[in-house]
Amino acid sequence: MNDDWVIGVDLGGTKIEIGLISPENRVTARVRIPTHPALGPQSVVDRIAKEVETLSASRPAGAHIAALGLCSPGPVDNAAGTLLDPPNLGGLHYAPFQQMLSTRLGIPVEIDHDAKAACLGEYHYGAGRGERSMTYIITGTGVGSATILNGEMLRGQNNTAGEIGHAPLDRNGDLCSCGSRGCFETFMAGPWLARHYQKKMQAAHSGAAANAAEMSAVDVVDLALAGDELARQVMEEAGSALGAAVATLAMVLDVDLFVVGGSVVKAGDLLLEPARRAVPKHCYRSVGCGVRIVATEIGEDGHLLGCGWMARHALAEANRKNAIVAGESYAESQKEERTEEGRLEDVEGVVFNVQHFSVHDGPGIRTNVFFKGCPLRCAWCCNPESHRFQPELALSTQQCIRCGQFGDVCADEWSHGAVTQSEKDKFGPRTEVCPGGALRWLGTRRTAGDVVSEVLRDQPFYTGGGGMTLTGGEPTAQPMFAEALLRLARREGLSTAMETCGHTRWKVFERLLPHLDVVLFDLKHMDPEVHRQWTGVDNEVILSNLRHLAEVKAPVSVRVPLIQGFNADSESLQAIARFVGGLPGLEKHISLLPYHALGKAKYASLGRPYTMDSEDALSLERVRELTQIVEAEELEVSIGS
Amino acid sequence: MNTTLFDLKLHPALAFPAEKWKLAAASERQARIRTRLIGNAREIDLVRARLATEAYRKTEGQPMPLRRAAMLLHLVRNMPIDIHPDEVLVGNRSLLPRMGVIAPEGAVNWIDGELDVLPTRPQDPFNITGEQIKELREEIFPYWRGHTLEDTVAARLSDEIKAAVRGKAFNLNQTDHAQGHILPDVPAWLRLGIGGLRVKVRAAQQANPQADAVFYDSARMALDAASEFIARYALLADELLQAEPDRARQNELAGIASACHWLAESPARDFREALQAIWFLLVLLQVESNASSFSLGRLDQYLLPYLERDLESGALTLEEAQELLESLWLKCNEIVLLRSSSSARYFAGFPIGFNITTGGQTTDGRDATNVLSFMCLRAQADLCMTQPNLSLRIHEHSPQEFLETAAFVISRGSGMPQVFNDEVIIPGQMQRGVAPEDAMNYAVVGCVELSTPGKALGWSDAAMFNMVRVLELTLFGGADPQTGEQIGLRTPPLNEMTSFEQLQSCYEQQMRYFIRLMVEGCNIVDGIHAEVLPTPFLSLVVEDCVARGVDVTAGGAHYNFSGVQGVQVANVADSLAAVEQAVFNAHWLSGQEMLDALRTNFAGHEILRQRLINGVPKYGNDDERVDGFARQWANRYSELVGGYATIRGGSYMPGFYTVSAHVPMGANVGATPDGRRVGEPLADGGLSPSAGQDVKGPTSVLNSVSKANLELASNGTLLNMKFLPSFFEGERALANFVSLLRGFSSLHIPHVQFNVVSAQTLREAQMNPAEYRSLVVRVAGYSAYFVELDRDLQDEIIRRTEFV
Repeated sequence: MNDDWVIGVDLGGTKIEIGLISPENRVTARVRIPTHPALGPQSVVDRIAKEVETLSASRPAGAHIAALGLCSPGPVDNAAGTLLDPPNLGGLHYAPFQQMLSTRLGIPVEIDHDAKAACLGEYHYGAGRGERSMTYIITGTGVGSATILNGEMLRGQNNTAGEIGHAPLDRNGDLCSCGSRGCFETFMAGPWLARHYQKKMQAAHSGAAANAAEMSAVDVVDLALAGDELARQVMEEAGSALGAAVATLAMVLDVDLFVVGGSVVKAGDLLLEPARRAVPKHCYRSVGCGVRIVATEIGEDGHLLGCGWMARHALAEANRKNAIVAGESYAESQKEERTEEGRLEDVEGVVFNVQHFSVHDGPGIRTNVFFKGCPLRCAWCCNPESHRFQPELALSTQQCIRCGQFGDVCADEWSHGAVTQSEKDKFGPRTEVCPGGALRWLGTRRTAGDVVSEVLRDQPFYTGGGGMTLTGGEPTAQPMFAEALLRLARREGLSTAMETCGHTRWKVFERLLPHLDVVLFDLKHMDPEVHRQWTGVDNEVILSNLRHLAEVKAPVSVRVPLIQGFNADSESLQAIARFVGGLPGLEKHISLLPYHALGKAKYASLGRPYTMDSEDALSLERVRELTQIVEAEELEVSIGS
Repeated sequence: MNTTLFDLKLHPALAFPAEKWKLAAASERQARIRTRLIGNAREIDLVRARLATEAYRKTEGQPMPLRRAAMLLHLVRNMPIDIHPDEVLVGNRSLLPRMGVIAPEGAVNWIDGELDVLPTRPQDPFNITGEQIKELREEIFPYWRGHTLEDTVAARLSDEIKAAVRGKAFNLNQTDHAQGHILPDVPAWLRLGIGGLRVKVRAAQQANPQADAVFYDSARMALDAASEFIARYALLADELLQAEPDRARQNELAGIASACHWLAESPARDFREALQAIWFLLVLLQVESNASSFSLGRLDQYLLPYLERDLESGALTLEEAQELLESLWLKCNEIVLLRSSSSARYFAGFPIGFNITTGGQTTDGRDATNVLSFMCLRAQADLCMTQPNLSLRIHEHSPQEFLETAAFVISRGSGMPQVFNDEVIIPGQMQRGVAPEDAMNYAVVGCVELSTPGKALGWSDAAMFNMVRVLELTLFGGADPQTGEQIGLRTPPLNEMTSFEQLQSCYEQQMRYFIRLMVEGCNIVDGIHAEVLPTPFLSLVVEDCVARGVDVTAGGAHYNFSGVQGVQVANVADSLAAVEQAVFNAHWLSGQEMLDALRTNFAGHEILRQRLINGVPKYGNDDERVDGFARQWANRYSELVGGYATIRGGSYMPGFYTVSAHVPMGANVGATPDGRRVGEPLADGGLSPSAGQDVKGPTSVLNSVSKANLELASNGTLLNMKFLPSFFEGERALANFVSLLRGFSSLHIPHVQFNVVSAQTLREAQMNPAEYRSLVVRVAGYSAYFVELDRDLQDEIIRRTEFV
């Protein structure tokens, strides 16, 4: 058990933020001082040391400060422990901060580029937990980014690898500060957002230009959240650019998780949804279908927490070196390596429910693990809480008792449009004291070990062939987590099943298939364009995966949701039936799942519009007619699962 | 051998095969009888009170067992009897079915007090005429005052016990009527008949000359009474036969006459006589005692030889045998018990406790399911009535098709069969000193009580201990929060406690104190029964009584126990979890503030109340933080109770069931820290979670319940679960339900029963969503909590289920 307290230092152009970090990796105290780079490195070191002493006073008696991590704008030489020549830190060029701080404080120190620090923070304590690879993109005055590939920080020759800010997206675009045109930064960085908004304002009404000149990026974001049409256009364009940049990185590095941080991400899905939509346009479908773009989970603390991780890393390195010097066994470090590779139990994922006693998703009594996050946006989806990859806030107005604890009434204030970041900031803390349990977070990050031990509580009930079913959301969108759950379940002798929309890389299926007894595969429509209109993606990857699964004779059960106006017609169903019938490795059987409106109330609790018409339920006779169409193609049909 | 019988032995499910499930319905004749029974208004019958008074007047000064036997004889000779149209099995203890019978030897005071409101009281009303009231008040009641069980008990309980009862810490039961709650030796009654019992009595007295002659004299008189009673029906049938125009009915009456002539002295010869003999046994026991819960035991085992013989000889077809069996089912609905208003609240809806047990294992550990087990299930499916109370024993090797058939019958919604678990009950009985072969042979008494057929007086409804009230008293230092009256021990109140451990230790002290008083009270009541209400007829059919010459009420049975129920584990666990979190761990408020909020019924503290409900883990969700308290205090209660012996020898046995007592017992408890308001019902059943607080599905409920050591709860436990009828749709549904039952069995929970929820319940759920939070709706591949759905959809689902 780690009980070390560490210090994180975020050194910026104008201010230095110093934080005290607990053994649980929380910033428990912090202080900000001006940087004054012109006073030189020694002054900076002395002032940091002084604040460290002050902060130390707030930790519990007996706890000691074990190490320090510092980040600054790049370039930084992480291996040598020195700053290089960051443009806005004039007096501090080539300062050997690692050695200076280590000597001054008598503890191990590590320094790195701030984007990399934030990336490390997110990877270890935020949205990247349990992942093998991720890219972190942070927007501010400029755009920084860093990438961890297969568990290793990508550094390159100058510790600048993974930077995307100055990749040209439009060679005829705006002139960037770097001298090039149309860099990613010119679409996404704070000052540029304000500038784009200003331009749009001028074009729209020439009189308002003066006001717009005063604006910052945060104002544009707030306007967009408030529904301002022009600001929304700016976000839309920034999002498309972000999607293009992400697609580029996904193609170059084959990373699948992209975490976005910085003040602009407050716009939430106004920014991220256009990005997600843009990705497939710029890369292979097989690559794009696995890409997830999510907002930071640790927000403004990312830099400090990343520095905290660096501090712990520095400490571990120092201990390892000491151990080798002291001639102690090599086995210790080997053991450490093994832990770093990770036990299955420790792999983390985001789950929004473990539903006990489910009888519709696979044989027998099953325990369903609902993964949060899905690459599709099906109009009829009954689980809107499964769309996004991160925990999110919901309010059930029926359960709100109008307690009056907060001055206003949550149910009245709750937005019926998108739940915005500012609303999250406002309502998030209220979940702790909401008396009626109306306000709550949907989705929690859990380890595979924790989830499987909950699943195993149902083991006495699996006698009729029951077991664990992964569902969601989309289990294949969290492949490491899915694999860990399946392997752990198999280790306990459980039957395993997975529901999937099929929109993932074939490689993921290859990894998961050996641990699966049944794959419940949703096939929705054969026409790529219709498929795209109703689900947000076309069906190419999905069909290709189903063909593959048939080839390897995987235990697949095909299921078709029956949706009025989409596929509940003879032509669509006949096409599906012919496709399934034409794949020799597949069981000659289809389950038809008639549409229901049970998810409607959930949309309201998430503040999202429900676009289906609940009158669209199919009559029993209609379902029977459709059944006959499938049967005519010599397939067996069952209704329901 | 008859092919049908051969097939049935190999495949007992042929008696109720899956393809016939959906066709299950009462035959025309049975439907007529059922309609008559259900439509019959409940009247008060004064005959028993009048005749018992006459008999007692004539026998003054004689030993009580003789007076009781003489009363029985006087009753069976003089009470009016009838044979109703359509009946094939005959006999009743009143002229009309479902009459309220008054046994003045038990009590007159409460009856006197309620005479005027009997027709209008909210629970279990009866019609009564002005002349009847006059006769009771002027001629009958005055004779009994001061001599009834009720009056004797009131005179002998100590002030300390009375204070605890008045303080609502526990209820003493069986204080105003004979106590019943027993499994008579049905196989012996069938095998020996009345003549055989006469021989047995004679032989026992010869072998045991120093034993009390009064016992044997009373036994002989009781046998004479039984014989005369049955013979009267033979004569009546002959009489009716003379006047009967219908040929078919003439044959039936002739059959009745012949059976009754024979049974008046001899043992049953065939299936129909066996059924008739069993019914006479139950009627005679009721005439003697007027008590609840004379149960039938393992009917599918006892009747099998008779059925097989008749099927083999061709005397009966399977269909005819089924109709005869269902005649017994109908008969079981003809006797109701007149209870006091307060008792009727504890046992609402006239439960008389004719329990029948099916399935399970033989004494040598083989599966005992046979053709009659399936016929019992079919009888329940055909008739869907409230009696008999059909119980099914499950064990690790119970046949799948038997359990699937049971699942189908459960899905019909009558709540039966209820399911009992051999895997925990058998070791639980053995651990109380019951011999292994007797433990393997256990059956169910009344509602859910566990006992050995023909060998035990389990006295299973001796008392109900209000664990929640005792916790409330503990929080307030042993005093009532409203009156300030000191009821329990003087311990520090919550505001003076310095740790949660201190609360637990005070609770233990109070629990010990009240359990001791409860046991003392039960022993007093027990002794008075032996004195005032000996039962010579019952003693003939409980093993060891005849051999030892000791009445069953005086400890003549082979096994002697007393059952006391702990009420209610869920509220205790939820309340302790709430106090631990709100006062001691998270410091939401001080102990004093908690006491103030409870005393004022959370007035002005609604936010606190909601947080206590929604922000604290609740029993029933497989959450160790609160289930740990359920385990701890269920076990502690069991251990403390199990340490006491009854005055008949044998130990006190803990149980966890309430029938409907969670409502009145809740009325006796103020606001509790789990967010329950003053007087609101406690959790239902016995081991069930508080209503609506179990939100993680049935497997989590079962996991929570299984955490206590329920082998200790050898008197019986009760767990209610609710399902929607739509759960049972689809071809795999019954198999899945059986998987749930097998999981229940492997978790060692003694009992579960299923309420398959109707549209009416769903409407109630719409009106009171907070109480129905755990109600899961299942529709085509998707599950949702009913109360979280919007109104339109709820309406849609309600409409749908009405057609299921």
